[in-house]
Amino acid sequence: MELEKADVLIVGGGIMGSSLAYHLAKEKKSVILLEKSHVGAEASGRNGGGVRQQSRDPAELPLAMKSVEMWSGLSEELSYDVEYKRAGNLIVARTPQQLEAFESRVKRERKAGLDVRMVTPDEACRLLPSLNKEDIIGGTYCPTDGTANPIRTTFAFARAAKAAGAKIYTCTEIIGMELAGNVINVVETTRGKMWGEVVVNAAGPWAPVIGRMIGVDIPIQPKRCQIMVTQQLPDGACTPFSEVSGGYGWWTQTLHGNVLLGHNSRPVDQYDYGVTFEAIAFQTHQTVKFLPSFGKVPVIRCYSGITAWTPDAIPIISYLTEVKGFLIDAGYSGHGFCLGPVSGKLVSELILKGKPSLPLDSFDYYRFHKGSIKEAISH
Amino acid sequence: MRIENHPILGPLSNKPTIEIEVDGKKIPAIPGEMISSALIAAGIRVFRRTLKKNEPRSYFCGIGQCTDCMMIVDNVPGVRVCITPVKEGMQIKTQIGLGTWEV
Repeated sequence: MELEKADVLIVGGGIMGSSLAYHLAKEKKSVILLEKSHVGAEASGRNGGGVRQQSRDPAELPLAMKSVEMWSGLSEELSYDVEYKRAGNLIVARTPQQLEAFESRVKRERKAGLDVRMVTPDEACRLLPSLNKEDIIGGTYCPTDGTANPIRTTFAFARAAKAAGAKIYTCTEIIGMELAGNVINVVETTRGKMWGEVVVNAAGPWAPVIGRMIGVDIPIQPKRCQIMVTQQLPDGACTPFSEVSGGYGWWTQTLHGNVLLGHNSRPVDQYDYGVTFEAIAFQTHQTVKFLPSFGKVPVIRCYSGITAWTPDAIPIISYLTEVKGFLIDAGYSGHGFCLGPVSGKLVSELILKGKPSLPLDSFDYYRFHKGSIKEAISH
Repeated sequence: MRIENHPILGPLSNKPTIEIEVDGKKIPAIPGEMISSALIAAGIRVFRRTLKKNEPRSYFCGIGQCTDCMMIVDNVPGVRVCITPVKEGMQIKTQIGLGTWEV
């Protein structure tokens, strides 16, 4: 069988892979995107759709701010409505310790140019009228944050990439990768043998599986996040995107009116999508406690998704020095959706020009591996 | 309309002793019955109007499955009145589309 070649071979049809495919195809590079099931079938299509800048790692903030700039024109650029809405983001605190941490964070974020501010419990309740004032002592609000439709966004990127010439192969799994010295010779897939000058591992929680094929250890752990969906409610039942700090949950309303009750990611063995009764019980309990009026609102379905967590909860966006042309772009640790647009742009710049327009140094693979990984590769 | 003599359950023994308010109008209700029963008994048949075509909707499946009988109950929209028991002084409103959220 003939070897199918491309400039860049992307593994993973989530938002990162799709956005990257789009940005590369736009620059006339030949791109093959491999996806084991369907575009946006995993966390990229299952998340809460939060487009948030506040409460991020300082290294991620400039990326998130640039991304939000891109989000505002995204529907137009991709000729597809991604349902982006700038309705703000509210995070509330329950303890003085949390509030203290919020104050220093807001100071840092404002210095970086982000429009974010502290809010009193009264202001928080004005923003989110369903909120139970008794249980909170304050919070932070960022008006330029918002939400988008995760399924539509990921699909829009893949669709635009395809229109620009990228090949999107769904239902295509990687069986193995063959190394010749320090280069990837062949990528064996269920659709035949392929080759890319650059191979991008954007497989999210499955990135370590791909890494192991060439003996590369990628410190990413899968965590499961469970979401419940209420029936459609009138607009304003739950805007802005709101979160109770400390793992109590988050709530957001889609453009169609359904409110999503979110659950914080929990470690999970294997890649298990099962919804658990424990998570349902926890989430309904928290919702009724913090948003009492939701006690009467019917929940119509529940689903979960698998997120990819690194030890420091920021992604790995980095070439490997030991395997030429192997680039890792994964581990967004449950908050990558917002970064989708900017990540595709920056990684494409890294591939095309060798230097991205915003620094990606903090996301280097070698922050976890001080020494060489040659040893791991040799066997 | 109420079934006064049910072939299996027998004659209706309970009397309406409480009141609920529907779109500002007080109607009698029997403790323990569903809101929909009190509405039908009072001759109210349109419970809501649809979002896109403004069509009238009423009691349909009667067992909480079809979600056609949604009304605004004590300010919460989207409540299935066929499976929600009446309570003294309950405020019920005809729901237009998805209703309004005032809680």
